[in-house]
Amino acid sequence: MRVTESSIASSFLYNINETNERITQEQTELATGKAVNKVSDNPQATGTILQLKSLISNNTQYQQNTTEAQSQAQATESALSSFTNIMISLKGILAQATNGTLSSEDQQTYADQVDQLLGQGVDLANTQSNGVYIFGGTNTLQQPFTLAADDSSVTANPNGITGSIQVPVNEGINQTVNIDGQQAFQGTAIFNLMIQVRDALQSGQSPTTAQATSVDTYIDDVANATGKAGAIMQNLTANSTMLSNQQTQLQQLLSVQQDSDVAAVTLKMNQDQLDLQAALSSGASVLPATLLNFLGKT
Amino acid sequence: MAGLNDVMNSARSALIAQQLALEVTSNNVANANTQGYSRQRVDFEESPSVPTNYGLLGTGVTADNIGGLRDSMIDQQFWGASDSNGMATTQETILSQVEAAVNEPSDNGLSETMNSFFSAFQSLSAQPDQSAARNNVVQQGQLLAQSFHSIQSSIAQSQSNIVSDVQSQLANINQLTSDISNLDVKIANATSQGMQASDLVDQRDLKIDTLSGLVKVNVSDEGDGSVMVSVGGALVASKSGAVALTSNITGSQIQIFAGSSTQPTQITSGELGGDLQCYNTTIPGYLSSLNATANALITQVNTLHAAGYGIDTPPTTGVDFFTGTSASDINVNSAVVNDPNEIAASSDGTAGDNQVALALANLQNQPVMNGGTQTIPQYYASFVSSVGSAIDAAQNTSSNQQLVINQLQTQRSSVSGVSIDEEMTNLTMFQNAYQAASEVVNVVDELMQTLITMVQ
Repeated sequence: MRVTESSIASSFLYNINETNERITQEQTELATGKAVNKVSDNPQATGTILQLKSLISNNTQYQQNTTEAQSQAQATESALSSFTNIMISLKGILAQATNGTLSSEDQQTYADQVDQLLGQGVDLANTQSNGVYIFGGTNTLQQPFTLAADDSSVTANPNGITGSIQVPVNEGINQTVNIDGQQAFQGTAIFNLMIQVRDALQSGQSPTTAQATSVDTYIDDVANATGKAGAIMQNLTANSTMLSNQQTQLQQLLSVQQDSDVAAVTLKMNQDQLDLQAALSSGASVLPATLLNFLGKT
Repeated sequence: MAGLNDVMNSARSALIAQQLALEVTSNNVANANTQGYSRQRVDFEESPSVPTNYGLLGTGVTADNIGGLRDSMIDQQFWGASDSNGMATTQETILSQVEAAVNEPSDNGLSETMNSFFSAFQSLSAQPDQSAARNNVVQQGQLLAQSFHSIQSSIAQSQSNIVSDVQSQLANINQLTSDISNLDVKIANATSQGMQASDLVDQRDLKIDTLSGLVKVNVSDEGDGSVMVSVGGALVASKSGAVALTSNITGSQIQIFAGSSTQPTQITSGELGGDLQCYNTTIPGYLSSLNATANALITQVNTLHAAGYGIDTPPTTGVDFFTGTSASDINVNSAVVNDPNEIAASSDGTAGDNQVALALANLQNQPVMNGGTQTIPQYYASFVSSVGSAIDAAQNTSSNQQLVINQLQTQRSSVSGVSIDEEMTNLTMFQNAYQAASEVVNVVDELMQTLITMVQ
């Protein structure tokens, strides 16, 4: 085939340009650390990358939800164990007060103690965590229990103190994170019992054995609720570990799709640079050579 | 009977012929880098012999015909190949703008904004009673709307840029066809006078080269050196004149008409074809995918949201979260922006209930697009992938076609290109021949002198 200067020149330019294009692409990969910088770099991988990123974003949100749920569950658990202590104190008072041989002064003292326990109990039942009432069911912004000004009665929020709050903590898993007022305190039953005991003591009567039995039952109920709160905590902790494992896995998968293999790219780039140098140096020696260099010089 | 004068004459014909050859060589060298130039050469022919007593005697050399060397088959192949390259290059350029508008995969593309939007609802479902979570939902919703607006307007902008591009291409094409037609007239004239108008053919072929990148051309030889060029079935240039192409935007389609024809010319390739394809089909497709994404998001979010309750007193219900119907007019409902407590996270009006927020967060996993087969993020991701694939395909076509064109260029150059080495060789050859012929004249001159002295 007949070869002309212009075809040598254009093929030289084409090759140099091709090599430069590759080097630019490799340089971008190295500079960003990513093999996929534009959709067209790898359209298929982009689909996967977007999906993984969405999973990672969800996972991050689940972790955040879990942390928040943990703090609420912790508040619930600690409020309930404090409440258990109140119930145990109440039981102690009842045990002594049912003895029968109490002076009216002693009875008054016990009545005052029960009254205090009642106040503490209602306060605990109105515990707020992060600005919301944790025992209010889904009516989290309204105080669930109200102690009348004269301490004569406890009323529950008429809009309800029930309802479970479910928080998404993993793909398809909604964890119930609250124990509502009904479950925790049997509505106002426990407080009503306290009021009955106090009023009886104040009027000089000893508490009945039925009342003492009720207290035992209620202690069991509160213990059950505390156990539930503990289970929620355990679930959340386990979930948190699972989420961070998943996060690691997802990040790895994303990295496989998205990140550039620095070693391989560097190697390729070295190769291409070598090619470029070879092309340039051979071009420099071939391009200027024509018959003219030799004609008339002898 | 041959005499000294005959020797002189044949030497003279040699001098003239070699000089002409030197001139052509010089012209070749001068045009070594002229685009479209086909190297020329002089055909030497032996002058008619004359009968003598001893047989036929040659009378020297005649320079017959100065002609350009070209291979019309390669030309045809070249014209057939450059349109797909032109189309792919144009598509690559336009689609790259769409790609830049979409800006994926990145941390601030629409996908990521959409993830954040759904995360905001998840966060709200964990804390439906917290105003921070509510404000975040509003903010992410606004970011998402902005993201839609900016992508939509960037893509629409690239689409409207095409219109002016088409205009300038048509101007270019019309100039080329009119030039081609003018050149053809001259070429046909020269041919009728028995001359090869190599330079005119070079110029015309160069114009056809350019034209063939802009639009797919069909070139047929008319037998007198001139050609008929047609585009999409319409004759646009011949020695009888050029037909101008005009464009018209009907509906959302750019149509091309040849001359006064009322039937649009089908242009499916070349740079112009690439522009038309992008304007008429590809970009509207992308915009409709984008709008479908926005629309699905608006209607799905609103349906769930309107059924829920806010936490204001009394709890409002029936409020839409988004207003608008497409990517260009999606916005967060101003009622919600003004009072984030109207965001309906609750299914029953209690502040701690989060069923609606959960459903909204879960919307990202619901296959509501494409006949219930794709989720909204998946649908959008496949739209993004399709943009990438289209660019990828255009790049591949463009680089493959570039190789083909390079190959054809090399072949063409191998036939028509000027080789300096070759010209220098010819130069030396003609120089030697010229010097030899001069020497013949010298010798004859001396002989003449001898003869004259002899007579004295």
